[in-house]
Amino acid sequence: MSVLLEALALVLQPGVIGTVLVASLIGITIGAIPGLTAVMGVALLIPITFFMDPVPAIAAIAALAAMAIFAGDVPGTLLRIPGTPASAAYVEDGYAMTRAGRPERALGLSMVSACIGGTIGVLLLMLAAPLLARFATNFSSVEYFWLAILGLSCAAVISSGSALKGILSVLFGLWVAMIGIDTVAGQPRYTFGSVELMGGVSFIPAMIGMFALPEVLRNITAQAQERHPPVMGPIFPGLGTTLWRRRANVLRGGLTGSLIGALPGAGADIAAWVAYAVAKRRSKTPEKFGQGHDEGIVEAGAANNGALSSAWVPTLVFGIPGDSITAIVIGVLYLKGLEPGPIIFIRTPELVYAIFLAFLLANLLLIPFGWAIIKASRQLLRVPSAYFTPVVLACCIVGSFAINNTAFGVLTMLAFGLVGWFFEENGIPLAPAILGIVLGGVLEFNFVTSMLISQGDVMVFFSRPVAILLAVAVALAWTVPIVRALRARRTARS
Amino acid sequence: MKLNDRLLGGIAILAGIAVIAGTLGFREIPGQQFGSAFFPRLIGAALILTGVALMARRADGAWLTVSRLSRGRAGLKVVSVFAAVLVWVLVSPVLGFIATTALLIALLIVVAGGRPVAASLTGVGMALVLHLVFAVLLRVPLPFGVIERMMS
Repeated sequence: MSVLLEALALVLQPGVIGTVLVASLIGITIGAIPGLTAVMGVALLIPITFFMDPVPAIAAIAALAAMAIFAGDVPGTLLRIPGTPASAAYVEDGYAMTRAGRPERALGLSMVSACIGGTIGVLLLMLAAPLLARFATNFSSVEYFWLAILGLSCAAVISSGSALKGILSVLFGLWVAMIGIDTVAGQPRYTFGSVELMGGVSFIPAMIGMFALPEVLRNITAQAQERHPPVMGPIFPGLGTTLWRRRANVLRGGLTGSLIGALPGAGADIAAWVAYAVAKRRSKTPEKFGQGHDEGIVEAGAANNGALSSAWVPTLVFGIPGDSITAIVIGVLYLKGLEPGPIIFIRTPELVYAIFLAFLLANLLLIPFGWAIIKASRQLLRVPSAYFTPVVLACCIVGSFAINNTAFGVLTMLAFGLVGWFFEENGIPLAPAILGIVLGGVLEFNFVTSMLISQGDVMVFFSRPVAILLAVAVALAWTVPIVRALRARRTARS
Repeated sequence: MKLNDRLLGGIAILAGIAVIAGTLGFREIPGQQFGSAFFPRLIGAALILTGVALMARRADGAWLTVSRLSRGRAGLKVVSVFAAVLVWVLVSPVLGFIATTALLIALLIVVAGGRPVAASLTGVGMALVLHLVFAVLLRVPLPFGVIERMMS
């Protein structure tokens, strides 16, 4: 109890609250602008959080992400352009409601279900993370090796369209993680004689380049369109009755999303698609889906925010990110000298609980901020993308510069931006590469440590019960998609 | 620029070979089986395997397609974004952060199809906001130049 009070004292400081409010404002605006995603928003916020204490820094990231994921529904509903990929699952239903003259109904439903879904995710995080952490204190380098492999496998195989391209992305990330001086032997690797690369590739500029620059390019080349957002009525009347009627959907969506989000490598977008499919299968009127029906909006809208919170379970407990946003967070935690893992639950529990409380606060703030953005969306959506894209580019530049105060960071951002753009053009997913960059060092360290302890015996990786369990999970992550693909081919043939 | 799977596989194989070749110069530590070269070689081998698997698939379309987004006017915009970043790196030490950034934003807005007056206002306004956040609040030593000298 005293830990919770200590955490409360950490969060209820004017500095922290102010940071959360500003981050929420940025997040809700970025999410509502079509083409700017939650991940990009987090990437651009990182250079600012770099200069803050851990609690406000992480609270800011959590608030920005939660707001942006909800706000992605605004352009999706009004213009049929999902603001973030996580809103794509139910964009047809929202837009159909807009055409029927009730945009405020769709947005109100997704706002409240996002708040409830997000809160369910936070509660799961608060319950599950400390329990798992107690269990994980017995883990040795062998278990950490398998956890890193599991995270990378899930990201590469499950979450992308083509498993081979996902693997390619992971391998690129792992190679980038090798650049710099090898800490074990003091051997410089792939530095090409550059002094700046001796310390390794600077993570923040690389990540800004990979996530933000392709979006800049996509937006600047997109054809300019006249947009006509519809007029909106009052949001709240009638909202309570509809939500009460759909309470099963909200709760189920929040739970489905939270469970999927807690898996390493699966994030808010997958959670939304799965929840939408579940809602359709369990509905009495599945034929209405896609034509302005509320069940899918409510269930998937709760799921994506639930996933966002619960993705922090594997992140904080094992240091294995749940999605691209938490992959960025892990990079930030390392930079702040906080190595994620069970140790931070024991050494600084008040910090962990402060993060939980900040999350809760961010989800509760969804209602006032959501209401404001729905009201302001007509004006915001009229601004042509020609005006904000160059501003985003300027933020990329100053953010990459600020980390080491050198132009080398800006060039790193540019190089990784080229790679990110090439990846996007060729259907190679970006998230596995970021996971590879973050986990590469961990993976190599735990592998070499285990091998040194066992004097070169590979069987050490199967010598403990939890290690075997994790190895089986890795094997499943690889075989299930293959079996499914083979079965699909067989049914297609017959 | 979209490559087909075969070409992509070929590039992956070449990259794998390059990664392994890069480890050949690493110092070996006597008696240490898993030194600096071990892990990179593993990655190189995995790259080659993935490349082979990609090449073995049925070819999907032309070797190389330049997407609609990178041709003509749109292609020019892509090039202008990359050029703008390079020019920023070269020019900002001379002109300073505020002037260079304001110019970059304003010019790119015009390239993207915005109106010149609104572009200039956005450029100057945003450059000042970024200067306030990073140089004044976060105390980042941003490139110092013409306007910074007048302000201090």
